[in-house]
Amino acid sequence: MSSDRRIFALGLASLASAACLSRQGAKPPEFPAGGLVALSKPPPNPWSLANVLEGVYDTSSRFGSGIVIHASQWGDVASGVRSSVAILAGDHFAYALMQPGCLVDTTTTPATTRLVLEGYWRYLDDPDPSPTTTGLIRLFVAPQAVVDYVCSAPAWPSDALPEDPRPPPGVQAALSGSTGAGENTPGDPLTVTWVKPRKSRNGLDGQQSFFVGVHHGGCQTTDNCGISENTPESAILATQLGGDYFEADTHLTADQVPVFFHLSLNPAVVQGVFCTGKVEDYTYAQLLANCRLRNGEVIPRVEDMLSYVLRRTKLPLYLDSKTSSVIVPVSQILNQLDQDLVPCNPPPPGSPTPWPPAGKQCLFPGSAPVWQRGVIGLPAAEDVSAYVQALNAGQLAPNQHCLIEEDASDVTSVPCVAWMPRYTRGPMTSTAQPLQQQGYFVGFWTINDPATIDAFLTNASPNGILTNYLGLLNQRFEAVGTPPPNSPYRTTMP
Amino acid sequence: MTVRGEEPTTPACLRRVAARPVSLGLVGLSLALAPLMGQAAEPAGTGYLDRGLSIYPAGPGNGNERWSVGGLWQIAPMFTLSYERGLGTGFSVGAALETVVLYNQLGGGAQWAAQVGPFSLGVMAHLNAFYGVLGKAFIATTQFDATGWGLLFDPGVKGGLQITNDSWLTLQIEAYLSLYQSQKLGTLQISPNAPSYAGLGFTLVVEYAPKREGVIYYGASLYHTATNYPMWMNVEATPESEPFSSQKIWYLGVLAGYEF
Repeated sequence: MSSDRRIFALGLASLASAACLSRQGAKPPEFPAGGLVALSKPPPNPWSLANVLEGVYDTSSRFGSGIVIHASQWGDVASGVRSSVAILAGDHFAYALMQPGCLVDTTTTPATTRLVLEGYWRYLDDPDPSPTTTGLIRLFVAPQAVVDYVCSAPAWPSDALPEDPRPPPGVQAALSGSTGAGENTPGDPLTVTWVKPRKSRNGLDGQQSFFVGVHHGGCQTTDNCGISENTPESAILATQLGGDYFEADTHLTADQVPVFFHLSLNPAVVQGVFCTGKVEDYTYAQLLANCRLRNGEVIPRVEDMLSYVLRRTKLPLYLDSKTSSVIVPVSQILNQLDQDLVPCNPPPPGSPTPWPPAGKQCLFPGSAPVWQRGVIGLPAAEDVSAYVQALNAGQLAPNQHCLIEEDASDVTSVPCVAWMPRYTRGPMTSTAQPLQQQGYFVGFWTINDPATIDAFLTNASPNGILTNYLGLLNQRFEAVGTPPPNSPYRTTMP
Repeated sequence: MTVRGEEPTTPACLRRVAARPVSLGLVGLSLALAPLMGQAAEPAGTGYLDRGLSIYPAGPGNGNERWSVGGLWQIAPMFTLSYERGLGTGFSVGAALETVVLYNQLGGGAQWAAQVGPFSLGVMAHLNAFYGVLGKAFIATTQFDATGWGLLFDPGVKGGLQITNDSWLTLQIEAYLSLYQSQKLGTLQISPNAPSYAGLGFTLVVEYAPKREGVIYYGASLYHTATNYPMWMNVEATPESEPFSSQKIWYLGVLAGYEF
C-alpha cells in the first residue's frame, strides 16, 4: 500500500470511528411493538393516577414489602403532559418504571376498559443489567371503580390547574400481573397490595419540608439505565422516580458556553476517540464534533437543558458550579429564561389571548417561576467570593438564589437560601437547626448507603438528601423518615 | 479559570489505602486436614532458602521466622510491617500492620501449603481490624469529620513457582469479607448490621534472594472491590470523588519491600 493510500485508509478509519458515536450503554428492555400500551389510550387526565395509586404497598415477589407507588407527570403543555407510574423499593435498590394505558378489552361481552401499566424493572445494586437484574413488567389495575375513575376522566384542558379535581373512588387500588427476565415475556406472577397512604412531607406550616434530591440524574451513567447523567432525559427519569429537586453540574467551554457535565471526559461517561481531557479544553462545537455521552446524547448546553427541564418538569435545579467562571453566565441564562417562560396553568389574571404570547413558552403546570427554581451551587470558598463579587457588580439575575456547600455562615452572609454540606461531616444539628428555623434549606450530599440514609433521616431531620438511588430514598423515607418541622420558605422568597 | 477536581483539599493518599500485602499473616485451611495430606510438608524444591520466604506459599519453614518491611502503593504509599513464622507440616502463622496514619490495619492469620510437582500451593485466611480518621482538623474544607473501624476476613489461595535459583514467583487470590463495620460522622454513629462480600484481589509477586539471606520482593495487584471497601472514606476522600455506590470497581496496586 502506498503512503497516500495508508493516509487515506487512516482517514476513513477516523471518519468511521467518529460516525459510530451512537449508544454504548445498555437499553432497558421493551415490549415488542410497544406492548398493550401501544394499543391503548393514555389516561385523559395525567393527574388522575396520582389520586388513586400513590401509596405504600406490599408486593408478592421481586420488590419486597413497604414499597412506594409513585405516579408522576411530565412533558410540556404544548405537546401534551403525560403520566408514569413507578415502583420504588429498598430491596436491591429496585425500581420499575411503567407507562399507563386505557385498553378496551373486546374479548369480553360487553367490552370492558382495563388500565394496564407496562414497562421495565431494574435492580440498581448491580450496575450491569442482565436478565437477573432487569426485565419487563406488566400490571393491571383493579377494581373497576379505579379503572373507570382514571380512564373515564374528563380530558385535562391545557390551561387548567395541574390536578384532577374529582374525589377519588372510595376503594383502594390493587395491581396484579407479572414480571419477566430480560426481554422475555413476563411470566412471574406479581401482586401489589395496598398498605397505607404515603407520609406527608410537609412541615408545621403546611408547606413541603422534605425533598428527595437527584444526584445529576435519575440514574448515574455508570449504573446503565439507558440514559446518561446530566441530560434533559435524566431529569424526566428523575421526575418519574420520585425526585423533588435536581442537582446538575455546570462547566464553561473554551468559548464560554455553559454546559452540563460532571467531571472529566473519560470513557466511563463519554465516547469518542478524541473526547479526552476536560470540557474546558474544547469549544462547544468541538465537543459536539468529538463527544457523545455513553447513551448517545450530546453534552447539553445549560441554556437548552434548562429550557427543556423547566418546561417539562416541576423540578427545581441546583446548578453546581464546577468552576467559578460559570456562575455569571449561568445566572444570565436563568434571567433570560425567567422572562421567556411563563405560567400557563392557569394563565395570570388579565393575560392576553392567546396565551402564552409570541416568543414565550409555558412553564410546567404548577411549577414555581424560574427565579425560584434555578439555584446556583457554590461548592468552595472561591466560588462564594466570585458570586459575591458578581452580586455586588450587578452581574447576577434579580432574585438569584444560591446554595452553600461548606461554611454555614456564608448562607446568611451572602445571603443564599440553602446549605448542603457533605454528609461525611455528620448531621451538625447545632448548626443546621438554627438555619432551618430561619427558613433556610439544609440538605446533605450524596448518600447512597441504606444504613446511612436511615441514620440521617432519623437523626438529622434534613430538608433534603441528594442520592443516586431515588427509589431507595423514597422508600426509606416512608419507612423511617419524618419531615422537619420547618419548611425552607426562603427558597420561595425574592 | 480553575476547575474543581484538580486540587482536592483532602490528600489523595486517603482515597484507597487498604489492600492486603501479600502473604502477611495468613490462616490455614484446616488443621484437621493436615495429617491427611501426604505431601503437606516442609518446603521442597532445590534451592529453597533455609529460612524460607514470607510470601511464597511454602512459607518460612518449621521454626523459622521472617520479618518484612515494605510499601504498598495504590493511590498513595502505605507502610507495611509483617511477621511470618513456620510451624511445620506446611503451616505458618503471621501478623501484619499497614498504616498511613489516617488508615491503620492490624491483622493476623495462617496458611497451609503443599508441594505439588514444581508448584507450591497454599490456602490461607486472615482476620484484620482497621481504624481510620479523616478530616478532624479541617472539617469544613476537607468536608470530613469522620472515624471508621471494623473487622475484615480475607480467605484466599496462592500458588508459587521457583523460577530461577534465587527467584520465586507467587500468585495470590484473596476474597474480602467485611464482618463488621462502623463509622462515626460528626456525632452520628452508623453500623450496617450485615456482613458483606467486598470483592477480590489478585496479586503477583517476585521474591528475589541474591545472597540467599535477605529477600527483596516486588509485585503488582489487581483489585475488584466495592467502592466502599474497606471503608467508605476510601472512595469519598476528595471533594470531587464519587460517593459510595453499589458498584464494584477495578484498580491497581504495586508493592515492594524487604524480608529480613
